[in-house]
Amino acid sequence: MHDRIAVLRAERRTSRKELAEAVGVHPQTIGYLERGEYSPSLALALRIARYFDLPVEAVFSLDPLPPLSAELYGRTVR
Amino acid sequence: MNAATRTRSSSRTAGLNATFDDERYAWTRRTSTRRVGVVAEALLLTALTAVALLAAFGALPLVTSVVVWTAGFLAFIPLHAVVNLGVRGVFDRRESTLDEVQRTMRDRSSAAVHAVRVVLGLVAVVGAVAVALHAPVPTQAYSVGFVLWFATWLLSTWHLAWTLPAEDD
Repeated sequence: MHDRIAVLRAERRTSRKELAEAVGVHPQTIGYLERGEYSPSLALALRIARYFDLPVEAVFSLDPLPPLSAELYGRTVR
Repeated sequence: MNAATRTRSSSRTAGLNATFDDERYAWTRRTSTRRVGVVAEALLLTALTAVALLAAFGALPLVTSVVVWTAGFLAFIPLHAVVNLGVRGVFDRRESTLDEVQRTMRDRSSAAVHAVRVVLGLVAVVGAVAVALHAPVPTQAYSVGFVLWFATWLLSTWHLAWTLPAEDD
């Protein structure tokens, strides 16, 4: 499972602790998710997506996620 | 349960959870510390088993074995406190205080050691019976059986402490 939690947190200036409290998990759990050491349950994935106000597929993917800039502008690094 | 008892119980649980999340004990959550703790506990229990067997077969005075066992279990208390803090006490806390990752990792460790636990439990029973039947000091059978059974109880904590991914600072 791949995710964009770290990128979204940085963009929104949200700490791991704030996100963890909002979605009801331990702050270390956010670290495990960001490092790909744990695949979240559907309920947790949905809570995280709702926190960022994004569809779940924008935050989590079974395939590696492209950089957000590439998705936004359709450009890839040369 | 009345309101006062419920409040006391709830504050005790909150206190326990706070201890397991206390940043003063962050050093216990380092992978190296957790693994050293597991090895130390395993070595301590192996030594206590050896002492019980030596005492059972008359190679060690009974008084010496009692002294070593007392010292060993007194040393075990702080040692296990370190290991337990290292895994944030997930085997001791209420289910409702754990999040899904903590529950998953706890259950994964319990499942991973299940077969070993069964075998070690059998060894504890067979070992105790064998000592009771064949050793000159058959009362030591209780010690041999107890320490091996005690090890079965610790296996899942050891597995979790050994395999838990490193935490962030």
